[in-house]
Amino acid sequence: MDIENVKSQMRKGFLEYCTLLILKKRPSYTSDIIEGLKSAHLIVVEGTLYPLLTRLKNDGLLSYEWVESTQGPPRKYYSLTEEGNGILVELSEAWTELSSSINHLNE
Amino acid sequence: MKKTLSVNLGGSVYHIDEDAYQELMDYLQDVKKHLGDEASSEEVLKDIEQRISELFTQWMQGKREVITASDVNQVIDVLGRPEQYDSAEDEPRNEKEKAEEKGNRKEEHNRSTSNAHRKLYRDTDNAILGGVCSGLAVYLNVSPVLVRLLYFLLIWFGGTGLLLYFVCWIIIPEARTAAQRLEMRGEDVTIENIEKKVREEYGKVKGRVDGYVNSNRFQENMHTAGNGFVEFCRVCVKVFFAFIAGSIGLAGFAVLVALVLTLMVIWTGNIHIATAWPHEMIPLQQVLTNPSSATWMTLGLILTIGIPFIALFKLLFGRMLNFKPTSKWEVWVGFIFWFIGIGLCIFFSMDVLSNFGGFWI
Repeated sequence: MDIENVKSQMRKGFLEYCTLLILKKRPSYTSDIIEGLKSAHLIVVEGTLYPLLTRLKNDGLLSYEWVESTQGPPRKYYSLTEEGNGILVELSEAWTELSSSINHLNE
Repeated sequence: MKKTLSVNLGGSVYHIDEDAYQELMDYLQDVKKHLGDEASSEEVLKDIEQRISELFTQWMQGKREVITASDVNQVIDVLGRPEQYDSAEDEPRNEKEKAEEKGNRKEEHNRSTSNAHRKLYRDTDNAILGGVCSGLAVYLNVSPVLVRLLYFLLIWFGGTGLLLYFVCWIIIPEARTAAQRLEMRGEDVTIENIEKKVREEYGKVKGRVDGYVNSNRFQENMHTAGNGFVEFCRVCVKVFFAFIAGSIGLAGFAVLVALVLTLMVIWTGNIHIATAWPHEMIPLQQVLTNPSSATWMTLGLILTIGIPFIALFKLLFGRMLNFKPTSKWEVWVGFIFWFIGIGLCIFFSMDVLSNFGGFWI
């Protein structure tokens, strides 16, 4: 059994959910999202995130505006849309369900 | 000593060593290739360039002036090679969808053994309009493209296909629950299978998100009568335009065939075909006796009519038959040839018209 592969599959499944969670807390620059996901060991390389963010944006879950930063040109500042909020609620329910079943199995 | 270049990366200017530039360029090319031809890939690439620019600014901190190859390597380490993007992320959509399709087909194949239990439902997960065709395809275990083409052809038999579609839409129930989707594919509705199905769907997070956006929306809309009517009108307009476009396409095709035949007459010099034409067409014969301008004119007509025809065909069937999206340069080449065609028509119609004049006066 390829344990690393299983682990990475697990992380992969939660990437969208965690990204939405980070943005739920507060709107962020892309680099902040990366920081959040990296500290949670959810992504290994940053490149993973960019296609994901664009996809979530195109699906209407996220929106962004260009915000001036202290250094360099303006950067994308992402926030959760109402629709994104709705999906997040659904995903949270799914997670609660899943985690309670796993806890149950662990007992 | 090394030569440096200055580049604009995400809106900032950097001096970069030549070898470092080459490496960065290669990397960005790789990423671009990896992302594929989608419209969103350009945006993703821009985001990545911007991030690279951010990292460079952070590392230089005004202390250094030139970006070196080691900086570029560091950037690649942070962002990861395009192959690595996938390790925790979906494959680019094109490939992913293809893979899914293959998977589905395999599954369908495996499931074909349990034909007996199959029930007819509308498959709204793979629907273009109401999922009638995809549902039928699952039921009959054939490709949905085949069923769709059949329906489309039936439209010309007095609109039978259209009527049939709407009737089917109304009387065939939609496969909404996991249990119904299992019945649709002819699998036993057991707890294990439902669980498997639900888990399968849970795994496809992207599909789920899309599912919420599309199907739930759609259902909710249908529940409120007003919105339902709007949805119905939208679909009607869609069908109407598809029909009109299809008819124009057929007519265009007929004209094209006629033009190609004309060209063959001119080139083979087999004027017998031309003399066999009805009396009213005789001026054409005279036109044809001046082969050079007639050839050019016919070529021009073929280009003028053929290119919009191909474009229309791609637009109509591209999605059904899984064509690659039209790239920018294809569009440009098409436009250029179209204009050349129009130019040829105008220029040589003058010539041909003067021939007509000679005949009639």
